[in-house]
Amino acid sequence: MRLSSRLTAGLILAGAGLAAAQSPLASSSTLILQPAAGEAIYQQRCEICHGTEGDGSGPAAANMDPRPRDFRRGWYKVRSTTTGQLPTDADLVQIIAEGMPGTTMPAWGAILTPEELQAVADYIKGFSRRFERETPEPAPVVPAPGSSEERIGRGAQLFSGAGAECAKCHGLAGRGDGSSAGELMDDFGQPIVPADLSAPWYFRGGPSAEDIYLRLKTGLTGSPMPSYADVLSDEELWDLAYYVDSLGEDQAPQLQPFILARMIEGPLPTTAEDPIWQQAEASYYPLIGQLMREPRNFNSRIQAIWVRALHNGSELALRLEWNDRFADQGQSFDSLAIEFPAELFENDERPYFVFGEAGKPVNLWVWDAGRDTIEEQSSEGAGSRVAQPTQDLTGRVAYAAGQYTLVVARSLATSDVADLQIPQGEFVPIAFAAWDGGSGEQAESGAIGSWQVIYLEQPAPLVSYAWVPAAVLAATALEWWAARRVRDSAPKLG
Amino acid sequence: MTRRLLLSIGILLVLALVAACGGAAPEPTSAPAPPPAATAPPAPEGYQGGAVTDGGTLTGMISYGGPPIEPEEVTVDKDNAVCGDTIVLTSVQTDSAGGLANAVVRITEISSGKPLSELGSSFVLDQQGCVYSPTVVIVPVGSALTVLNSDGILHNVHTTPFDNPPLNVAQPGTQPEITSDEFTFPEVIPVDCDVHQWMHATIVAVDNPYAVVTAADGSFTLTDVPAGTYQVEVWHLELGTQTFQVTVEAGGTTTQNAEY
Repeated sequence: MRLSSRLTAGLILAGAGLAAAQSPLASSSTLILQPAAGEAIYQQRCEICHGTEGDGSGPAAANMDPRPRDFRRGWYKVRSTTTGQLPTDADLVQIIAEGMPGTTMPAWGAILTPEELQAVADYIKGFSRRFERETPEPAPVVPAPGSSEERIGRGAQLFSGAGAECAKCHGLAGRGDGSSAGELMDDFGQPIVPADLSAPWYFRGGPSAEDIYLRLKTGLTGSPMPSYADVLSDEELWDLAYYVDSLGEDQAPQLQPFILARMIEGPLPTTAEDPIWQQAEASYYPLIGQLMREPRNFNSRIQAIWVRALHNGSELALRLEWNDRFADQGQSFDSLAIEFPAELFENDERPYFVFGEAGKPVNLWVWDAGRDTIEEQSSEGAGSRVAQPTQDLTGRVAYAAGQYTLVVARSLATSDVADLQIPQGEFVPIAFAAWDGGSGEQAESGAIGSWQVIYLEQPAPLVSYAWVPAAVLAATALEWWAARRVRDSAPKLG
Repeated sequence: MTRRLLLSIGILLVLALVAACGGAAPEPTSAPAPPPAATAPPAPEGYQGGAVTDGGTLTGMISYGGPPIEPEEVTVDKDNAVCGDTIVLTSVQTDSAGGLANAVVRITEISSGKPLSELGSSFVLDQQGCVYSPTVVIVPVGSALTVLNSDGILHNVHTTPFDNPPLNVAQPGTQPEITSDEFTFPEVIPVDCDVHQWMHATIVAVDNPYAVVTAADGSFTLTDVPAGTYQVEVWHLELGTQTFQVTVEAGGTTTQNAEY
């Protein structure tokens, strides 16, 4: 009897294997995947954010912006189908597999098998009855014609002109700062902002021109972004897609190993527009919300800062550039801080990057739009920021088309004992923090990054120029001596 | 014992072969049992339209008797050349006698009566001066809505229905007219323009022709109602819904007033 049941089990397995080999649809894992599999995956992976009922109100949802999708109405942003239609199975599987950049939705493609992705997509479809009665079809598309200057030019016209008026929300430079950007709500009643088109690596549905074309064609259901399928031809949609594509790189810029402050002669630039800045490389510095202590910020607004640095042997000038959709003054003001340790330690020890610590103070160079001042502050940790008695900074801030530029300068050496004396030819820790006042960010609850280093280029000492001729001379002498030895020791003919 | 073993091996072999050929392999059921949706969509009514003889008339006045609701003034900060500098939003519009405009009176459940086409053949929502006109539009299922842009600037037509597919289409100034998809399910559908956040209208999709928007004085009339007893619903965006049971007599006129 025992033999019999073993045989039975073995034969069932063999049968299952044969069946799997026969039909490409019924792979071995789909045979294991019962309808309950999608539910089990959902409960394990998705429910914590999207909720038991699929209403986007899981226990982890409260701190998320954008909020997790509410599946109950069948409203999905990233689709291949026309506006109003449900997504196809392939759309759902793709978004689950690839995740949504710039949100808390991770990519599951490396964790779930294709069969599991489909199973969980099927389960999610069950949250809306629309999937039972509607059959979504991909919108007809025209293959990519290839970008060109002409296309990008025509796209720019559509973008800011009457043809599409994208600038109304996305702003003239595409940084999401248009005149209608400030009061947008999504279809679930949550505030929403237009995408900053200069940072395509955050595009929810992908950064390529093909992705952009599809978003323009189908709209992003549930958000204010409408479909242009009925009002623009495919030619025009491609023009516009290539223009938007031209506004930013597909990949996020890489963090540089250090910020190089090149040395120039003469006075340092005092405005952001000064062409001298082109001599300085722009260095990308990403920010995230301050999460190390209360009040934490899980959804900070300022994503990154571009930094350029120049010095002239006596002064250091920094040029910072960051995108902020709205210039907020008054009570809830925008702000930015540049952070240095107050002193440098032999062993490269650094103060705590969140505004210093007791006994290890930091210098903060703080611009705030409330008072429109650039101020030197000292800080030794939470809530201990104070203005320094002596102020040594000069600088200015400008705001245009959703972007701030700040130029700030200080003497490398000051008489203030609280100041870092900035050395040349050494790696000096530097960090940045930024606050979007309009989103309620202030004091500790802004966006921050960890220590980066800045290196002030050092003038080469005169003696260093002697090394190259000396080396050439030495090499020549060695060669001459070697050649002689070879000649002398060569066996003589005859 | 041996025979039983042989028999079971034989049966299993046959089963395995059949399975291998794809015949008896259990089809993987991909769709799980759907969790209950938030609200079950109403099944489309099988409304029968035809000639109504000796129908009755349902008429009345809808009024508002509560404390005065001041219109809201919105300061316009974009497109001022077209929208003006101030938009006045009158959420509860009444005449001097309290007659309530822009309420909808409709019979909610009726299986037959006059044809649905009695509601008209074209249904239009205009955008003029950055406000919708009218603010409430009734559209029968099976029909589409024509949306006009008389402003010559970008609007987007953004609906958020529950059962019908949603709509969000851009309508730049270059597009004076667009047409929605046909509506499938009766429901109350909000319409918004995201470019101008004060713009709001309502589409009331209906599956029978006994629906009407109240006039400026709050009056309404539904004609050719087959004799019978009906649920009548009075709806207003701000003031909510009231329901009445009304009996209409053949050839007679029934009056049903309502006050908020």
